[in-house]
Amino acid sequence: MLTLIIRSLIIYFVVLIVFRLMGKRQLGQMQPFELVLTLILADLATIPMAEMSVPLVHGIVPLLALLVIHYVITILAKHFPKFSEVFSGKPVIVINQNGIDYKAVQKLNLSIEDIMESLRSAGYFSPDEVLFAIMETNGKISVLPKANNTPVTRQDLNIEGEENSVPIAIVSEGKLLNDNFEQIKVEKKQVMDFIASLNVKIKNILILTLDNNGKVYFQEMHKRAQSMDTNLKG
Amino acid sequence: MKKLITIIIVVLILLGAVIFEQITINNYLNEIQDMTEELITISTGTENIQTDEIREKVATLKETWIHHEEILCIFANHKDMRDLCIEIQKLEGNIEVNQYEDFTASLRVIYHLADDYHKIMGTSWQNIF
Repeated sequence: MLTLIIRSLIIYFVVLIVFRLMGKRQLGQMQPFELVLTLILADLATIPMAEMSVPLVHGIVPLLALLVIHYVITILAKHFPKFSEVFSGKPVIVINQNGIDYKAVQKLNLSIEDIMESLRSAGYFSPDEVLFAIMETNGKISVLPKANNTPVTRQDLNIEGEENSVPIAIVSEGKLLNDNFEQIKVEKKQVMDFIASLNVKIKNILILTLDNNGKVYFQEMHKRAQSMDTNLKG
Repeated sequence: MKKLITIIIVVLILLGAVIFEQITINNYLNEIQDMTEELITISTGTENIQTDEIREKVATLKETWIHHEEILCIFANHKDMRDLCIEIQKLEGNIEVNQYEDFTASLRVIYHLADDYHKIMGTSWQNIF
C-alpha cells in the first residue's frame, strides 16, 4: 500500500512538472496537438500508478519524451508558419460581410447551430450583429461586431478617464503579503501607518487591497466591506 | 532560456536512461544467458546432475541473479523478472532430487526469459509497430 502511495506521489509530481513546463496554454486554449498530448499524458500516468508490476520508469520515460516532443513542435510551429498550419490548422472566417460562409462552416465539420452557439457564447445572439466571425485554431470564435453593435467607449464620447490600475492584495485572511509591496510602489511604512489608522489588527483583516490610484478596498472579518480613496498612490 | 535548459536536461536524462538500459541491462541479461547456456552444455547427456561443477555453476548463477535483480527491476516488468527468479530458484531443488528433465527444462526457460527481454524491449521494427 505504502509503495502505491509513494508511486502515485512520484507520478503526480512528474505530471505536474510536465504540465508546468508545457506552459499555461495547456489549461485554457489548447491547440489540436496539445489536446492529443494531454489525453495521452493522462493515460500514461495511470498505468504505472495502478499496476505494481510495471516499473515507474515505464511511465516516466514516455512522459518526459512527450514533453520534449511538445517543446520541439512548439518551437517549430513558432518559427515555421507552414509547420504551424499543419499541426494547428489556421483561423477560418465563418461570417463575413455576405453573411455566414456555409462552405467554410462545412469545411470545419460544423453545423450552423454550432456557429450560433459560439456566437451566443461570445455575446451575440444574431448573425446580423456580426461583421466578421473567425473560428480560431483552438476552436474558439472571435467576433468583430458591426459598428451599430459595438459598445460605446469613453473615446466615442470624448471623455477623459483615469487609467485603471490592478488592485493588489496587501493583507489576506489576517496575513500581511510582503511580496506584494514591490508591485504597488508604495513605501511599506506608509501602508502600515494607514492600517494602524484603521484601528484594526492585521490578524482581523479579511482582505485589504490597494491600487496605484490610491484606492483601498478593505474588509474586517465578519464585518461589511468598505472602499476609500487614500493618498497611497504608486 | 530556463525552459530550454530544462528541456536539455530532460533530453540528457532520457539519453542516459536509454544508454544505461542498452549497456547495463543487456549485459546483465547476457551474463545470465551465457551462464545458463554453459549449464545446458555441461548437463546435456549427463543423467547425474548432482556434480560439484553443476552445483557450483548454479550457485554462481543464483548469486549473479541476486546481484543484478534490483537494477533489472527498475527497467523490466516485475512479472517477467519474477518468472525468471522462480526458475533460478528451482534449479537447486532439482539438483537435490536429481531431476534431470526438470533441471534442463528450467534452464531453457531461464534462457528464453532472458532472451525475451531483448525481443520485447529491444529496438526493432516489430516492437515499434
